[in-house]
Amino acid sequence: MNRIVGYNKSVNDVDFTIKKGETVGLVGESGSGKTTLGRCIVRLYDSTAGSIKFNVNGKMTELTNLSTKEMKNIRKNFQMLFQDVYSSLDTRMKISKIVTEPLDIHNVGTKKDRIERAKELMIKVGLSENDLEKYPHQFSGGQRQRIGITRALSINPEFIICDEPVSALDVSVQAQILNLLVDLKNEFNLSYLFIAHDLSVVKYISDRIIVMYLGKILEIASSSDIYESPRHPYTEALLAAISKNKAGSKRDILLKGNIPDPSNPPSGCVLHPRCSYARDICKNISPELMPVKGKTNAFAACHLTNELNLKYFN
Amino acid sequence: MNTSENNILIDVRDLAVYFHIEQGTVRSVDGVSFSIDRGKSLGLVGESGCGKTITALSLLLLHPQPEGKIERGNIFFYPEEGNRIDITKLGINSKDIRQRRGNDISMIFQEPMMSLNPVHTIGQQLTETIRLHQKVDRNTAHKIATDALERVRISAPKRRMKEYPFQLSGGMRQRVMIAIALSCNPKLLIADEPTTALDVTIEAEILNLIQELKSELNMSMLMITHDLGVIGEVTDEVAVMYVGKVVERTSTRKLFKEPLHPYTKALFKSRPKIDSKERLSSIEGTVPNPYSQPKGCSFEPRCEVSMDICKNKSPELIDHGEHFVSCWKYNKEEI
Repeated sequence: MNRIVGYNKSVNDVDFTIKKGETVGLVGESGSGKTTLGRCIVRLYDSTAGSIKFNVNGKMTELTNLSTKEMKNIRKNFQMLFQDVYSSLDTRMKISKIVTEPLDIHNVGTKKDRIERAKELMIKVGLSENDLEKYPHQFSGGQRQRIGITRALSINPEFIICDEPVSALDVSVQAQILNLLVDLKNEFNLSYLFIAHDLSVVKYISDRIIVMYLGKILEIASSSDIYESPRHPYTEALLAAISKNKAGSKRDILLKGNIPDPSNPPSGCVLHPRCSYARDICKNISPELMPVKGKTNAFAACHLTNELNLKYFN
Repeated sequence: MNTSENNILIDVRDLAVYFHIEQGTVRSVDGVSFSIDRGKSLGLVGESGCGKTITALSLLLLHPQPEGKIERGNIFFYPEEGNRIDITKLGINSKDIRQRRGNDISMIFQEPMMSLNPVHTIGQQLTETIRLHQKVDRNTAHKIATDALERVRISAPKRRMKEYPFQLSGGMRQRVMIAIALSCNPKLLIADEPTTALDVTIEAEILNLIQELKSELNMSMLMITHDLGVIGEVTDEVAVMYVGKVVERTSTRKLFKEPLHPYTKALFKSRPKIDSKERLSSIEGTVPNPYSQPKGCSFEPRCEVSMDICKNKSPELIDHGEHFVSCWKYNKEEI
């Protein structure tokens, strides 16, 4: 699998970690490699190089070289939430079967225990016990995502990868699901990797944000720093693309053109063909992800980060 | 809306579209009225299942048939000043309506991949529309099509004409859809969630493009979306829909300054704001089951400020100074 070229290098450089109970947002346009990164972590895809470590009972375990059997054991600790709530639930399975399947696979408890667990969780996510007897087509998009959440929680994971879980939902339902995810995180001390293309959603839920573009990490910072003082032109452009929520407003488009073909990324800085600040150095030399001066735990990969006065546009 | 009669392009009055199916009658659109002036745009906003799309489709008599039926109401369309056509009176396959579809009134959809035919080139799909509506030969149609692609800011339009939909990105495909929709210079463009499936960066580009083209061509627009942010950017007026009814209607400026209906207020509050980390206030519950709608105000079960009367009697849409709202909170004298 050669999809995320260079991603692992970025990870080595910055110690990209997710702490227990932390939500890390992963943001970028389609084709940035967000989903691929998420799936590499749980080894749905195998990475070409690099290391992914996960804390299993206090011991950091390297995931990339585990056998399928060992991996299965460790997968109990992670779950995923998907964007498409229609294709991620099997239409021919009853809800009770869908939400207890992870328990079946990992052989947890008796059949009765599993159903008890499912009932308890269904109520927690705002559905009812009776819903266990229904089929997916009987539910709306928001309710289906709640079912997805129940399934993810059933095995009592520590870490959930949320891959655009709200982008297909109505704004009003988005709010319900986001609130639910925050509540569950606090209750069960979960960690999330929250993937989305909309910075306003990511910022709402995340403690820290990783900005990705064409398989590379361009900026990492706390969610308030990202918003108050972005240190990468790409982050600035993503901020400018958020709706201003005002009558008669217009969004600023700071990037030119489309995301390039990932199999043939540009030389130098991956953003330079679209970046309005680009200079000669950007065309030739790829910038490293470096700590931002005067900030802790903030990193940016831009030659000009200390010269540019990037600001938030809204 | 206080504009002179002859500036109106489309005037929808008390439109009702019901679906008669096995499980009962679904009142998808139940007494909707709005009008759009020439060169102006109206936003139709609401959650999924509110009847926005059915309203839009019925303007072209494209609502699912035969189960869906226009029960009552009129859709007056004024292709030229003084020439009034009632679309509801036309046959669904009549020559009269086919003349309007794609020609006077065009539509773009949410999912550009589903709306484009995967086995035909962009060029074939564009020229098909053009030759259907305009009496031109192949070469002229090709020329018009290339110009249309250029108009929606697609680079290398000549090359794109020969490409297939899968070779284009999502944003590009939506541009092609817009090019097809605009190729016959429609008077009204209906845009049904045109940016919902796109990245925010691409969404901003497409919305700006639609705005520019609208003023370039002096076209009217009906923008359907669940996102109030989009409404604020591209519309002059807004109608907020909830379960088949318009619950609030006014200028975009007024709506953003002071939304009146509790549903509109709740929609505003449920959007995450980039400058605050306050807990989102979501609208509890869901849109009511279409087969068993509440007797009174349809929003009552989810409303935070509901009163006794709301449970029993459905409020009318009442004018509060060019700001129409249907909520008992605002017409107390009638209680």
